[in-house]
Amino acid sequence: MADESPTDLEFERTPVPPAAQLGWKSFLGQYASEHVAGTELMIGPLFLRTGVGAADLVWGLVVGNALAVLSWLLVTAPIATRVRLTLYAHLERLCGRKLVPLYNLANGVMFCFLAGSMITVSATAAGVWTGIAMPSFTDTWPSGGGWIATTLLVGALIAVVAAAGYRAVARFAALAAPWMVLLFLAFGIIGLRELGVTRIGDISEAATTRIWPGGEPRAGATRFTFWHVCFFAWFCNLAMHLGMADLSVFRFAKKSRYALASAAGMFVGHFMAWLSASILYAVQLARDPGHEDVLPGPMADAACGVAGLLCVIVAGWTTANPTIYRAGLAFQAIVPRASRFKVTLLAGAIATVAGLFPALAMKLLGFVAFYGMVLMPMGAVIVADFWLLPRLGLQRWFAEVRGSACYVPAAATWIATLAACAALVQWGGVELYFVSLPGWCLALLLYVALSWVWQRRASGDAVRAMAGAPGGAAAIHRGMASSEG
Amino acid sequence: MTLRRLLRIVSWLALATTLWPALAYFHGALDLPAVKRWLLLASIVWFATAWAAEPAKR
Repeated sequence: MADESPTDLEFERTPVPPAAQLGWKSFLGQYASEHVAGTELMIGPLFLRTGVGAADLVWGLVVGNALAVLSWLLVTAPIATRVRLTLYAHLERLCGRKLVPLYNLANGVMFCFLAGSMITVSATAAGVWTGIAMPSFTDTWPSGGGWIATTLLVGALIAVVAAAGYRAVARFAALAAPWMVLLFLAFGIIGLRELGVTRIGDISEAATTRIWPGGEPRAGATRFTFWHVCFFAWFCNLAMHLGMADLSVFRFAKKSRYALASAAGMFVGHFMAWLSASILYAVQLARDPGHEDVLPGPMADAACGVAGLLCVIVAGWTTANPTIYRAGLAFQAIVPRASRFKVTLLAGAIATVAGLFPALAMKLLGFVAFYGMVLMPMGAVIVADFWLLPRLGLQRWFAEVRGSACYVPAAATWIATLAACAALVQWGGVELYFVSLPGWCLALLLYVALSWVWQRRASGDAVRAMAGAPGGAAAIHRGMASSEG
Repeated sequence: MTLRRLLRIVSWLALATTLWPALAYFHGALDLPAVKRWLLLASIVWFATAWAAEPAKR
């Protein structure tokens, strides 16, 4: 099944040559389609459950999404277009081949859980047709045999297709993208009418009084302010921008300013789609205040009928598919001899089992923040290694230059930053949504400090070793000359 | 070539039709069951024609 890979012959180990570089339109399409996903239908309603007010929500999304775009533009893309390597190849140069599998494992597991929540979303739509008992907001365990059977069926289909027919689904996803965007817009427009809005001038009044009136959060939710929304919007793709996963994407960009195309994904998917999904939930609550369950399928069905259900299934499927595929790639990097088909099936099986448990999707806001936090330190390490170390007279890509299998400062920075973030959340009173910002700055400083200590010690060892060997002084001289060159 | 162009025009019309029923409903010109029927029809036509209009990529 290796020939089904979209990355074969796509410069996995070598810099992207000028002939293969792409214009800004390629990134516009990719970001606009990737960020209208099944999970948007969960995130929008979950915002409403937090009791956030209309102004806080709208301005929080505007500022947070703008910060996300700036992160891609000013942090990710400049390195991507200078080095033009995948994240994995970059990490291998930086921290050695022994640490990369650990990163891949963490990444793969997170991808599986994310795909699991997408499978849950799709299952809520399939469940409308089969009439099964749907999970409630507070359910942790599967809600019954019908839910298990539906989720297993949906998950198995997605997993098999991801393993066997990735390219066909990728083409279908590209085809479905403009249709999904317009249906999400239709969700919002129909929802507004259902809430009694008949003129555009009435939207503001309806938003502040009927849709997002603000107030106490509902059971099991944290109270969201402007800052919560802003940081959530900024950091929900933290792994991709400040975490540097999108080095793999922007290595194909002719110019780093093409990262501005990410605004299409942010302001279509993470603004319009979230608000539309939130409006659908407000309609549900207006009809039956006691019905608080967040079930994208029934909500879409009420607004747009069968087309709405198809949209939920397609949105979940087309985004779960590449997510499972990427998880398979991450796992395969750990066990290179394993068949990509089997590894992707395994990733799909893990995602399906995760999708059985509704708690994962219902706690999606927290999970997304956690996912970003786990992968974020390595992004800071890449930034510090690329920009700061050479300016301080230290060696960039130390593992590659010295032939080291594990660059300890990178590993120590990752572990220490995660430990510090966990401590801040557990005992420092810092909420999970905010902890990644101090965490990223800490990782930056820690990596520089540890590299300084490690590289000084390593140079001292090398000098002592060479000085002790026959002809040592000449070897030291040659070594210095080659490092200057 | 002509057929592909025709398919492309129909597909774009179908795509536009996924939005106008919602706008018509917002202005009170269409009821919700009719909106749902139009959306389903437009969706089927969009996928059929847009897929058929891109044979070279398959």
